[in-house]
Amino acid sequence: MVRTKHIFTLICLLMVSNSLHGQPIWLSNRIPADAERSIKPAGMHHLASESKGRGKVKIVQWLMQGERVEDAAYFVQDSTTIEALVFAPSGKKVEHKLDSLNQRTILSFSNPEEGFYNEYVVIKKVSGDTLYYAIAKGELLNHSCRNGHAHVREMMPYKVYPQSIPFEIVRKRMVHEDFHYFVSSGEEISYSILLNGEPANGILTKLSTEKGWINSRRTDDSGEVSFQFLQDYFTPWQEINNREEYTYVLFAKTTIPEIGVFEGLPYNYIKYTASISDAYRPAKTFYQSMFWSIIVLLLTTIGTILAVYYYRSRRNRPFKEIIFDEAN
Amino acid sequence: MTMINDLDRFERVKKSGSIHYAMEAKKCIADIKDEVHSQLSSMEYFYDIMENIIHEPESSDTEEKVIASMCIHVPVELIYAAGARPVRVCGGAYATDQVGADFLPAKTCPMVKSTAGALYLGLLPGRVKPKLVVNPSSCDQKKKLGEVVSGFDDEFYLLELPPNKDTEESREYWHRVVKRFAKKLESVTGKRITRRNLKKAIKLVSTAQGRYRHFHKLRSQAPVIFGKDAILITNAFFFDDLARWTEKLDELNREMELRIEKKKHVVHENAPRILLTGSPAIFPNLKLPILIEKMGGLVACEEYCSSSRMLTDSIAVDEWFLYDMIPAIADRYLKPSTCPNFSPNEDRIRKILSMIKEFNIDGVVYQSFTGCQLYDMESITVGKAMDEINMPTLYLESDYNPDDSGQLITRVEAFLESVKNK
Amino acid sequence: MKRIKQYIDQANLSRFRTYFQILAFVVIVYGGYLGINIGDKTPAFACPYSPGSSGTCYLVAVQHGLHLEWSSLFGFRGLALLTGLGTFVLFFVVFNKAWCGFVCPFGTLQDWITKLRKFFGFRFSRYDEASFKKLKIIKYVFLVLLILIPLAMSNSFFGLPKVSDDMSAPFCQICPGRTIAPLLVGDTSEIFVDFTNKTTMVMSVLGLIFTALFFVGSFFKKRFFCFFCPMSALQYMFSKVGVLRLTKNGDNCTRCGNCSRVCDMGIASIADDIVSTNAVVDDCMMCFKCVEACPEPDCLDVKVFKGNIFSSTSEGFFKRYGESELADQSKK
Repeated sequence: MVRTKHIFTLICLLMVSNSLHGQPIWLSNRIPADAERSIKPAGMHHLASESKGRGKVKIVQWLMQGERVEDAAYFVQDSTTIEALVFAPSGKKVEHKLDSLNQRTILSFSNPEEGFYNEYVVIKKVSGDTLYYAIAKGELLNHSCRNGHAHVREMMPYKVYPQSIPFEIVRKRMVHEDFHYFVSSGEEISYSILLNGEPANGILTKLSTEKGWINSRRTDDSGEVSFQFLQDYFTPWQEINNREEYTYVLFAKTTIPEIGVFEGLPYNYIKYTASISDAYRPAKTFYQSMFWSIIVLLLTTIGTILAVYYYRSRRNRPFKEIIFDEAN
Repeated sequence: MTMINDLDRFERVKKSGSIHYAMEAKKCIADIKDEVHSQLSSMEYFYDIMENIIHEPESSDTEEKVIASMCIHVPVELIYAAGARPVRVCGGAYATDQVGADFLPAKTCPMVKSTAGALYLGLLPGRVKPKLVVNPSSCDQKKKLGEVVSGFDDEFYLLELPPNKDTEESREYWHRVVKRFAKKLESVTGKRITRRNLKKAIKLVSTAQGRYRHFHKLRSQAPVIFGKDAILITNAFFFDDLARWTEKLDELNREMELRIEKKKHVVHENAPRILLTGSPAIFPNLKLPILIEKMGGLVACEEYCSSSRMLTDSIAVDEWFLYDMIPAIADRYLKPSTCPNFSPNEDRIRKILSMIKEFNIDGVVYQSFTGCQLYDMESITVGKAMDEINMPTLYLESDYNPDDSGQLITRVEAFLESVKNK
Repeated sequence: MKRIKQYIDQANLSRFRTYFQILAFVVIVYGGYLGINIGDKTPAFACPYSPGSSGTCYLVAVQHGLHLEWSSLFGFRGLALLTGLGTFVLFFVVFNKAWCGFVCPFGTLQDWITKLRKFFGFRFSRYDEASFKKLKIIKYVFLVLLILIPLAMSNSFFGLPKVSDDMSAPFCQICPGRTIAPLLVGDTSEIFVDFTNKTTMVMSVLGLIFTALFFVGSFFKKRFFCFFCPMSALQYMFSKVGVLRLTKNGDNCTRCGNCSRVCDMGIASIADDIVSTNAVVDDCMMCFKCVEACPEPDCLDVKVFKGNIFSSTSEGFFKRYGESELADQSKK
């Protein structure tokens, strides 16, 4: 007899079996409510971290599945090949752990170096005559002002690893960007899509933000695509918080004809899906005002000049440094 | 008050006064050149103008305005900038002293009497007729003189000097006084004090001060000039044309440098080096330094307001605008001043001690005029300081009367002996 | 050797200082673009908010470094604080307070604003004695606050709640350097009022008020901001072990007051104090204008350890302040 729970399981299985074909994967920073208590947001970018004592932390990331940030589900590991790669800012490979706990897939690693850590989770499966190659990327910045800003300029440029990661999305740096930069609503951010290390044109990309706004574009001849982050929500005045961070993910996918064998199964095409996830903040113009600052500057300048003028014009009046108390 | 009402009699007193004054000047120069003589050719210019101090000038520049001053606290830079010439009229002649004694109290300081007499008779250096006589309220005798002689032809202006130079209030007060004085000068001469002419005046006086400092340094290096000549030079500064004075002093400096190189000294190695301080030696009353040097001593340096005190401090201006130049001038005439009218006057003792070290002094001669309460009182504090360093000091009281030279000779001789034997 | 010393003693040090300041300004404000890096323990206002800055003001390290809990203070991070302080002191003692007078770009800016004021002929302002004594304490207040507030952000003082994170780098938020240094490279991004919450509003408005005061104040008073600078207060604590020294020989001093009258900061003790040998006080920025203005030989000396490199001389004084052409002076 078909019971509700059977139907439920079937639906779940269907959802799971769709995992590779329909739903792209991406890495998330947000700590689920029932996570271990030792995991807290830490550091400048509020990355989920687990304190290991003596000042050492481990960064923790969850693998999500789904195009919409708010509705994405936690990826549950099954028999498909899944591996993770983490590179330190110096380019060396870093030890990491890819666990499956409570129906969630968790990637964790230590980040003692200053700079950008590149983390990738790769899932490969052959289905039909296509190799489905899914890459979830996160570029996490580790920086503490205590360590000074001596080498910021050298560590700013992004790194790519075409040997290990054939299809990659990178966020292009702004002109004056340094470690204290945050993507903000209102800004136009450019991304570059690289296929085997070369910029690829005509790739379909999709930007999906936590606040619900989604947009789709193709890359141009130089392999670049730009999105202007829009802010179409209005927070009540009392709840404005310029430090609030929202997640966004940029997805890209492309299919190329290539013949090969993977785990004993032949394929003629490779379908790459890549994602890069990061955080963005509310627009600066939402809470910063240059107009009011000019008003303050003008008022103070004029006020001080007038004060000095009146003070100097009292030259002819008698000296008053000693004033006697007239009380009886 | 017995001023001379009869015009005839006035003219006679004036004539006899001028003759006696001229005779005193001549005698003083003769005494300087007598026996012990520096024999510096550049000194001839100074002997010349000092000897003719009271002569009618050949050509008088009627355009020129003269402002008379009675003290070193009058800012001469302002006077130059206002287009006038400053002449210091502190009197040194016995002839005018006697005239002044007629209408001033008996115990008045001889310099004040002499100045009063000179002003009354119009016998000022170079026979100048000042448009204004500026009288700083430094010592009370001088201060009161202004009131007493207010019936004279000349206009008197009291420059209010504070009795203390350390506090902020006194400095602010003095700045206000000097600014008001500058305005007064402008109205007297009719010429405005501008940035340019004040800067020129400051640099002019500063150059003279520079030359004098060099002169002072040369004196400390070797005994190539007598103290009486040095005092004569600064007395010439009272009324001489500044540019010419500076040039002549420059010549003298060069001659002295040559002498130092050739080691041509005016006294023997072990001649006692004396520091003179106290009431100022004003030409022609140079009997004390002349006497000391006649007796074999050397006046190596003086701490007189008719000598080094006039010219050793200089003005530093930060911004060459009137708002900074005038306070800079005011500060220079107040802060480093070692005049005993300021109380406390630690700076004078420190200056004397530093001069003793610099000039290698063997003995100090402290002279005060009869009736000079300020220098008399300070002889106590200075005396204590001298005792602490075991410096032999001679205290003298004298006035302009030439008759006390006998007594002076005895005391000076004895003092020099005791210094030599130390 | 004597000729060299004579040349230096009579030189116009102020003119040399103007050129040196221009060079230091270019190196510090724009040097970042040329790849110059003088480190993050700079004893001058090299503001990291500016993208062209070639160094970082040490106060930034102090404020960020003290943002830790008491327990960390006694551990590795506390040691890092000490080594940071040691590096700062090593940088500092080479020039002593001359970092302020010769190197700091904001000191240079104020000197240029002073030149502008002179161009227009406006009179400068001075503090009277009583105000001077009261106002100089403000720099110590700033220093204490910029040390305590970061500590109060991580720890609870006397059971009071921790200070909010919006007060992070409190002095940087109110410092005129934060708004002005980026302006110098064409970046206006630090000029804003932050309306997020009351704390950010107050701090950003204070920062703008101080910026306006910086310009107006230094227009009317020479080196207005330096009087209130906590870096000056911090530096003074280590000034005694400086390599470069400014000494006074009180016996040669006539108390003419030339030194304190040309002093940009208005320090009276340089003239009035005839007892101490070390003439550097907490306000002094070692510009050496006082040494140039002193007519007494060997009264004020600039020393490296015990050897004089620049002394006050009367020849030097007259060369700088006195000389005039005598030729055209015979008839005034």
